[in-house]
Amino acid sequence: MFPKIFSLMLLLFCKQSYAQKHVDIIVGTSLETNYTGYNISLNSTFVYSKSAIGVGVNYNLSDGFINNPVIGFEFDYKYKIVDNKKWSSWVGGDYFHQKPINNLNIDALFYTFTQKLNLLNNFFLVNHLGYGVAIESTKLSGRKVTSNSITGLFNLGCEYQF
Amino acid sequence: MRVSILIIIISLLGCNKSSVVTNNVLVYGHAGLGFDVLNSQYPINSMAAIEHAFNFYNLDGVEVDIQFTKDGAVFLYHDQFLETSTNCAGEIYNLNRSAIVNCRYRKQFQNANSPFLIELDSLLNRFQKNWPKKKISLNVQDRFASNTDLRKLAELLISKIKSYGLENNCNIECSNIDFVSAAKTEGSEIKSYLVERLNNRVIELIIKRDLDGIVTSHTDSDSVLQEKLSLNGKDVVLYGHLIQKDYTTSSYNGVVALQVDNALQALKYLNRD
Repeated sequence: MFPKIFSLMLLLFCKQSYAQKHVDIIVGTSLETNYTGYNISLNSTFVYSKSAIGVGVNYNLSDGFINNPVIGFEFDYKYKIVDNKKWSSWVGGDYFHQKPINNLNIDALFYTFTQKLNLLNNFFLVNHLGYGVAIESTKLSGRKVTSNSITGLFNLGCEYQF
Repeated sequence: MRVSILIIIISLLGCNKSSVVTNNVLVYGHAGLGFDVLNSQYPINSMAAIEHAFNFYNLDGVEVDIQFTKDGAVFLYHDQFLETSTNCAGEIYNLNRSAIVNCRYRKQFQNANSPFLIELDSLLNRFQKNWPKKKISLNVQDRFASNTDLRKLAELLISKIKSYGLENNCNIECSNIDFVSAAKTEGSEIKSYLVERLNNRVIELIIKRDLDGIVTSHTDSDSVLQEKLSLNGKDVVLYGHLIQKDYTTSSYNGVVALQVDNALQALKYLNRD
C-alpha cells in the first residue's frame, strides 16, 4: 500500500519538477539505527523548491549474513523549514521496509527531523532523527497478524548534490 | 562519492559470512524471545514473548526459566529476587504460591497479554492446546530452599509434564547435577541436560550420570569436546550468541539446538527462510 502511494507521489513530483526545470538531484549514503538494528542506506533525493522526495535501499548489518542478507527499501518526504548558507533544517516522514524472513514483513513509519550541514560546495553532512511506529506482520494459518511498537531512528550520513 | 563507497565496503566487511551448518539444529527462543534487555519488546519468560517467538518467527521452541515455590508450585521467572522485575519482593523458593500468583511485572514490562507471572501449568496447558508440535526447554533455576528433597521436586515436575502429554516436547535443564540426575531417573523419556561450562571433567560427569547432554555458552564451544560428547550419544545445546561473529566462530559438532537472543539473526544464519 505505502510503496504504491509513494511511487505515485514520486512520479508526480518528478514530472512536475522536470517541467519546472528546478530540480536538484542528491545522492547520499548513511548509517541508520532503528527498530531493525543497524542499517546502511543508499539514497537518491529529488529536491524541488522546499520539498524533497527520496527513495533508497537499505542493508541490515545486524541480522543478515553476506550469503543470506536482509535488504529492504525506504521512501522519505522532507520539507525545508529553515535555510541558511551553511545549514538547513527539514521536517518530514520516512517509510522503511524490510522482509528479513519469508513470512515476516517489518514496516516502519517515522516523523522525522533532519539537519544538513554544508561542509564543502556540494557536499553535506546529514543528521536525521525520527519517532514513529514499527509494524511487524505475518500470516498465521492464513490470517494476518500484526504487532506494533513505538520506536525511533537515528541516522548519520553524507550527501552529494549534483 | 569515494567516502560513500568506502563506508559501504567497510560495512560489508563487518558482516560475517554464514558457514554451512546442519539443518537439524533447532532454534529455541532464549527465555521466550531473547535476553536482549535494551530492545526487548516483552518481558523474558512472558506469554507475549513466547507467542511472538512462535507466531512471528516460527521458532522450533522456547527455553523458559522456572522456579519452585515453598509449597511446590512452579512459576516462570529468571531472577533471584522478585523485586528486580515485579511489584513483589523476595525469593520464590521462600514464598508460597498465594504470595506470587498476583505478582505483576513492573510497568515498563507490562503488556496486554502478560502482566502476571506465568504458572507452569498454564504454560503447559497452552502448549498442549496451541503449540502441540513446538518444543519447550524448562530451565530449572538452581534456587532451592535448604533441606529440599530434590527427587521429590523432580518427580513433581515430571508428573506435571506427563499430565499434559508433553513428554516428547519437553526437555529439562538445570545447573544442579543432583536435580538433573533425579529428573533423568524419574522421567527417562524426557531429555535432561546439565547447564555447565564445557570441559573434560563435566563430560565425564554427564557420561557417568547418564544425562542426555549439556547446555553451554557459545564461548565454551569446542569442536573436540563436543565431538567427544557426540560420540557418546550426548547432545550439545549452545546459548548466548549476540552478534554475527558468535555464530561463525562456534563449533556445531553434536549441536542439536541453539537458544537464541536475536531470533532473526539465528534464522538468517541457519538459512531458515
